[in-house]
Amino acid sequence: MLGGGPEWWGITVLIVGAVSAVLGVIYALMENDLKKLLAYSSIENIGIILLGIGASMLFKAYGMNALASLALMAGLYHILNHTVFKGLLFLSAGSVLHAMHTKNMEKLGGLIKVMPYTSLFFLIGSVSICALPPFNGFVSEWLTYQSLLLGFNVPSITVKIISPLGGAVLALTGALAAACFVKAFGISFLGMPRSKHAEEAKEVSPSMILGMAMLAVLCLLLGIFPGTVSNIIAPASSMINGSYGLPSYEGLILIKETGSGLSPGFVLATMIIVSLAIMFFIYIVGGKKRARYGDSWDCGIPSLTPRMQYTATGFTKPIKLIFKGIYLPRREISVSYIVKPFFVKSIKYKSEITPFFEKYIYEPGVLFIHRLASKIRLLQSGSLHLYLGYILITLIVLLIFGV
Amino acid sequence: MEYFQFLIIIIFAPLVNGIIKKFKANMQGRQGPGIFQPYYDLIRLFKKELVISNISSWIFRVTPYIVFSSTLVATMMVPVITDKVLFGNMADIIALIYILALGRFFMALAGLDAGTAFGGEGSSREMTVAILVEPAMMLSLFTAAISAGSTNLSNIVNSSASLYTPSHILALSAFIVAIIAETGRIPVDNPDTHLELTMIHEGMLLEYSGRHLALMEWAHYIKQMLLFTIAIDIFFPVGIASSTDIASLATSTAIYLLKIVFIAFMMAFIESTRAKMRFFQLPSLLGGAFVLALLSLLSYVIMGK
Repeated sequence: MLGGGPEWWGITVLIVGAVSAVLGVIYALMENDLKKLLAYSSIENIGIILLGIGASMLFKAYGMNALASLALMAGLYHILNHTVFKGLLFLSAGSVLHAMHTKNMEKLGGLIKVMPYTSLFFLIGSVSICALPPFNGFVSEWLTYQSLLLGFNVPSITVKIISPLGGAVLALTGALAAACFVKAFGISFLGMPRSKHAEEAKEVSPSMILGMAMLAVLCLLLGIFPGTVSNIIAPASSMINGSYGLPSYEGLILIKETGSGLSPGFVLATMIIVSLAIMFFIYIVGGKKRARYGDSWDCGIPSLTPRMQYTATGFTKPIKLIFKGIYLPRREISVSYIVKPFFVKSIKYKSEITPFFEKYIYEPGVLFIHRLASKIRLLQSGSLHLYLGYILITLIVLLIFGV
Repeated sequence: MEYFQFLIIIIFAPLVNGIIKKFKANMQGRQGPGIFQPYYDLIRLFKKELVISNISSWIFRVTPYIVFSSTLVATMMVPVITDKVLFGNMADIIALIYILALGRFFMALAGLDAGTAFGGEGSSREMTVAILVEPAMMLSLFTAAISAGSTNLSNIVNSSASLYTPSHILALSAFIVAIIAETGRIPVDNPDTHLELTMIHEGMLLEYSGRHLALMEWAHYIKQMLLFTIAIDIFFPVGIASSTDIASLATSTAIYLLKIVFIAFMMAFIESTRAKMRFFQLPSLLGGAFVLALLSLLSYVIMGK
């Protein structure tokens, strides 16, 4: 399939990738279960990978082998990155589950104080998966952007329009993913603990920390040495499409068709230098740091409680309302009264989104297969005589047709 | 010399905000504070004591530095008065947008860190607005990048091939809406309010004080002037120096400052003549910007310029 084919194959892959990227992250946003959120986000990342591969197929269809090789490399780079950061995120979510016995974000909070290492690694994973510099996700998404923009060189009106639009979809996906992981990290690890468990959680064992640490370091290395990594990937990509000779700089990627370059390591180094410079500047202007510690602003009402914090559900409520065409949200409010309508005994509020794909595609499919299976089960009656009969019939059929 | 042009943005960014405020005050029939007021505010904040919430973690304390340094790195990528920039062939427009997104990511986390409802509200709204802005902004930049054949900012500045064509004007209008949203101005956000229920950007900064607040405010001014500069670079690059002798640098600096003042005036005009929109009307405004950017791409494809 990757070895070429008509134009519409590439377009199909591109569209499937775009739809999968957006829908994956949109469902991830609504998920309050840490591991389910990560699972939905895998759908998104596979969509991003398909954007690269689809672009590669389009170039191949028009015989632009060098560009096809570049786009395929973007896809392969993202596969590699996704392995690393999603592994890291699942390990840290696993650590949270191990320490807390829950994956429900609404019961977490404040973990950064009691589980500092796990928190740091989850943060590194989040920054990587949101494609923020200087970590690895940034490089592969940037390569994907470049491939999609180069799609404008393909002599076909459809491709000229659809590939930059793919880039716009990638931008939307990136912003949605950022919101998703601000929620995942911010609600679970920051603020005040939302349950007794979260208050008393303990950091996981050193062996578990080591596992996460290795992946976190890889996230950074794959980010700041994009040249080295792409030189490793290039042979695989050029085997299918012919060579794409990226310049062999270690920390820099340069697309020779456009003169666009990228060096996350340089960005990181400059950020560190700037931070040190500004600290010095502040020292000159403002003198030594004087700090007082106190409570958060509570509008004058004493004692903030964890229940006053933003919840995971609250955080994504605006997004749920804006994309209500996709989420099809439903809510039920049931009020029971002591004396109607003045004295309320209790109010029950239930809000959920309709899992469109599960409800209208997977469930009917599963139901159909179950029905079919129950029909076929008649064959398996448990009677030995019947089974011997089957063998006899099979033998006769084979003898008639086989000889 | 030309490698230090980013200092212009860093030094003049508070002034640009002061000028916008002055214009606004005059349009509303007020005297308003002097145009140097932002500098006095920053210096005062740098000298003040910090008040840090016990609930917050190290994220809260690192964020001002991450926000400031990432904004500054973005500034180093942008041609201001000459087309040669410090980052050379790494001055990439897509990288620039993602570097700014890094700052926003940490700012939103810091909003959640102190465990208050206002911070969370600010973060939630900021990320929502970002979701709506990002596609429109990127697509309008794509049109510019495609017509220049490169995402490198110096190359984009130097290719004036598609200036003042329909696609160019449409992309510009989409980009202006995106700038308004990104800088937290009316009709998207109100930069002057501290009313809990309406603020977006200010909500995230509510717990900050002293030097931390100064860094965040300064970074915000820099980001604002940076976005203005990108608009100038892409849509009216006329007058930018390609040689680096003193005379041409002086002229291009003068022309650049004139353009910035003009944009500041436009921003003040838009702010004074519009009311803030309800939050849930924003999708139609920013969706409109996306449609403009899309039309810009389509007209570029169809007309070939």
